[in-house]
Amino acid sequence: MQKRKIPFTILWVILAVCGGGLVVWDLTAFPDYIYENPSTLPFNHEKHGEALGLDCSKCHPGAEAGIRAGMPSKADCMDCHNLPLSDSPENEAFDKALLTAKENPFTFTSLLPSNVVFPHGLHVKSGVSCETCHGSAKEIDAGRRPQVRMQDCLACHQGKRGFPQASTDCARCHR
Amino acid sequence: MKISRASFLKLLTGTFAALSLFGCRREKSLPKNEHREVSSKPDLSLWQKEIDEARFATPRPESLVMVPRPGIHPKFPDADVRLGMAIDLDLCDSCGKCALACMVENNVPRVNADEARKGRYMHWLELRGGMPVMCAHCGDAPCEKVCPTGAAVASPDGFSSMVYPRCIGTRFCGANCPLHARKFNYTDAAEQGLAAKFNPEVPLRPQGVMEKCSLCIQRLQNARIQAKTFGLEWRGSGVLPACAAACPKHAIIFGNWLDLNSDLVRKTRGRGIYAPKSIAKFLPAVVYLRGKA
Ligand code: SF4
Ligand code: SF4
Repeated sequence: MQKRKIPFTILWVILAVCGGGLVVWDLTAFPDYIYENPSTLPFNHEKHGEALGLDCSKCHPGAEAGIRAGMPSKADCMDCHNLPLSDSPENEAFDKALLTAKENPFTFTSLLPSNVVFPHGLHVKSGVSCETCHGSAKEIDAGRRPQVRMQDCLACHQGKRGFPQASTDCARCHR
Repeated sequence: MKISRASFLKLLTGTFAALSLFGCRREKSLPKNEHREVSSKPDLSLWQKEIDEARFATPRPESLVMVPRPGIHPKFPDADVRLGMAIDLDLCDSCGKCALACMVENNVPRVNADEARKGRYMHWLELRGGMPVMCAHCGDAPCEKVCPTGAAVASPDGFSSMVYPRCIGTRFCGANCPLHARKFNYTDAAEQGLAAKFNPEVPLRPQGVMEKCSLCIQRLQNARIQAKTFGLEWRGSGVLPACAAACPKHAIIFGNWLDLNSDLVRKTRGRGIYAPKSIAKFLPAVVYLRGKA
């Protein structure tokens, strides 16, 4: 009897190692939700949003009333940054980077499939905050991208997430 | 090393278990966006040329029969919107501007010579014997009934829509559409350089996916979203599909069949309303006008 048990233990160990490996691999090999800022201009959401009390739509045009939310141009930055920052060497370097930045320093490719429309304005209007999908300013700075799947959209639209119920007809969002 | 038969079998089982676990791994963590890289400033004359060519492939107009005025969509009896169109054949002189506008609005690709020889043009709006023919947006749509995945589905606004990523390319819908309004992507148009992204609002359809006139759903959705953002009730006003907007004779009238004040209802009053004979009994929302009632 005792003899039989040993190979089985080996089998279980193999299975456990494989399973564990799978999980680790899954978490490390697919970091495509980590967003690398392709711009050379550093930007800190926390310093602008939570510290200064700026609304997202201040820099992301359309985020509150439009269909899509855009990225700010250099001119938008210069509206505020035409005055130099306090003189620390770090800020000096930043001022210089801003001066030499191109016209549209920030680019962003949406992960939303091209056949889906997500009207930002309508969602804000019914009380969905930016953080609901995009995460907090801190998370955005850490490179988090909204991880929204259709089941998340549906859960919300079916009224399961505390927001008012909305249409679940295909043709309302798919085109 | 000597291995007993029993432990060999166990090892084999273990390897299989490990391999099948490996096979269950998550392929990708998020849906990738499908914005494909194609030209956004192509040579329009190529599209125009194909439209002129396609006229020869469809020399005969649809035979029309008189139908009652389109009304409520059978699947949405409580809706107060049933969008549709009426094409005034007394005004239409078959110039083909609507066909080009449709292709440009909806990123409709051209086809290669092989496909063209078989008459498999992708045109959502065809000029059949000079008569503009597109999906009639049947209320009782035969195409929707045979779609195994629900990719062909009725919109609550009373027209027939498509969810492209759901389409698995069985082509049942195309076979069941008596009007042959559906177009199948037999080839990868983007790969062959025959597709263009004229309109960023509309996705490119991949190979193996069915498509057809969507009643310019992107325009309708945007109009509705805009109205709702301002807190207004939207009943189909303030928007035109591309073909209707492009028609120099204003022969294509768009509107809401259930709104008695819409252009569509007013301009069809007292007119003879016709539909292609093949789909007349399926409650089409796109009809033709000719003469007096
Ligand atoms: S005309 Fe054809 S494609 Fe359009 S709804 Fe009717 S059956 Fe479907
Ligand atoms: S309504 Fe839009 S999709 Fe349909 S035929 Fe006209 S332009 Fe093309």
